[in-house]
Amino acid sequence: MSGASLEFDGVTVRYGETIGVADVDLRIDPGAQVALVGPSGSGKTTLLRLAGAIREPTKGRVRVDGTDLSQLSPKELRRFRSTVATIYQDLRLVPELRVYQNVAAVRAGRRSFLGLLRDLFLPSGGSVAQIHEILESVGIEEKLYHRTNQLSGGQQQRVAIARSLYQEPAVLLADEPVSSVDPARARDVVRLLCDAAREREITLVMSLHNLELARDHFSRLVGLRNGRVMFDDDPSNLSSEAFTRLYSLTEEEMIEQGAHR
Amino acid sequence: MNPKPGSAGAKGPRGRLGGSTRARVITGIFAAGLIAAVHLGLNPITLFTEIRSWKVIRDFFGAALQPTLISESGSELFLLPAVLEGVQATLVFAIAAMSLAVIAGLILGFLASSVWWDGDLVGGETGFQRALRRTVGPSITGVARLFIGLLRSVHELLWAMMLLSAFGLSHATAVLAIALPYSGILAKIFSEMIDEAPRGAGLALRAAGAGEATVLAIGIFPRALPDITAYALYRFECALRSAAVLGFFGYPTLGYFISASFENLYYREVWTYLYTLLGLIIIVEFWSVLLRRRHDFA
Repeated sequence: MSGASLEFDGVTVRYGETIGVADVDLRIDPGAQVALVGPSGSGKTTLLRLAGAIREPTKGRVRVDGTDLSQLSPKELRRFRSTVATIYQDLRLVPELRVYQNVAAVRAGRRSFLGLLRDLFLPSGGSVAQIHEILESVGIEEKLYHRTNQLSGGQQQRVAIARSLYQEPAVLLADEPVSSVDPARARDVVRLLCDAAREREITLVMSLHNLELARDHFSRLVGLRNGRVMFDDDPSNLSSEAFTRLYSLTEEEMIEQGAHR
Repeated sequence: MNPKPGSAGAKGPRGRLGGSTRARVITGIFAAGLIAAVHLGLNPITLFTEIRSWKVIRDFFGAALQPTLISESGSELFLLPAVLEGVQATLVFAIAAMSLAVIAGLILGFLASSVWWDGDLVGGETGFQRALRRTVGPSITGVARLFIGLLRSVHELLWAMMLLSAFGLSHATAVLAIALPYSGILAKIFSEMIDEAPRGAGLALRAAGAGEATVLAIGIFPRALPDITAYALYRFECALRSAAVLGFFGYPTLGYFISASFENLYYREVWTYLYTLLGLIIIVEFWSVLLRRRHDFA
């Protein structure tokens, strides 16, 4: 499957009084790789949730490959979700299950319930071989039958990556995938994700705290602040002031954050 | 159930008990204990001054160090067959009751949990389905919780009394007497464990297009399973004790032999049966530790 295009058209999300994103216009081409940067609470996660149809916009339209997500029937919505893979900051694996079970479960959107149970508990040689191959590509094929909670944090992250690839998605969303990984490994993980997405022509949208990683691995950065797009450009066109402005706090915000703490 | 670590902190200073509130709660607990003791006329000294027979105490606890396998009746009856019969009956009743109670507890516990109807992921169902889920779900949970409350508000000995008077001394009566309250207790704890299981993995599957059944069975249930297993094993230990005590009603469990020996003042025999019960409980404890270690539950 090749990548899908993503289109945000005047999208606003409100969580009660709080603004998630405000009036965002964004177009991402099929197979493109985009990094979302910006301080905490700037709307990165909200944009990813919109793209995965986990949240509906309060205002505006989100289109994937030209299809308006708000027009999908429940059944179509489930089918759509099965084409979008997400890598979470907290991984969201089932630690009590084995590695191949965690990977296999992600195809739930395309399997009947009983079919999925068979995949998990009486797997066919073919599906195991396929999972083995994907684990090999992330370097943990020897953990295939291990219980997931016996793996280190870094290995579990690779399981999460393998899971997202086994889903064979058109869009890969990664929400702060390296925020709990040590810096040396973080670079490996980001490179692994970018390479895997490029190889499979998957559209990749990744939110990142680490600006340096974003600049080194992405040719397009979208800077968000308070739910608004501050810049959207190639990192070589962006001045260091643009980044400073993105992260600097106004006096008002400092007071507000102090009050929250 | 204890709140998860961190949740108290997340509530901020106002969510925690302030120093003076805590002092008042502790004082209150002690005061309640004192009032209850005064009301009952409890006096720790009279426990010793009003003892009717020092001899019984001496004889009973003196026998603790000399359990016997030869009957004290003087008939030179070998006690081992009785011990084995008691162990077998105790085990069989406990296993039969727990098998029923675990199945009923899982079904009732699931119905009494809110995990199957309070999902917060947008879409994936029609407005009608959503409305149905949001009204029917809580109602079923409410009814299930009421039913669970009824089951566990009656102690297994009371269930045994009621069932005995209704159906007589049959094996099914004893099994039901344990299984009914244990279903309620298991269901209550299971439902809390299911509700408290981390939902991230389930939401991730949902986000990948999984249906309701998959989310619950693959994403959520395995996360609660270690706790559920550990608790079921603990309740199995309790079921062994309950089955033993049902012997007082005439079932051939360890309690039957204990009461028979006790009535004849054969204290050394009583201790033989008590140590056997202790051994059973220790074996179950070992088993549960082994199981937990093998599955990395700890």
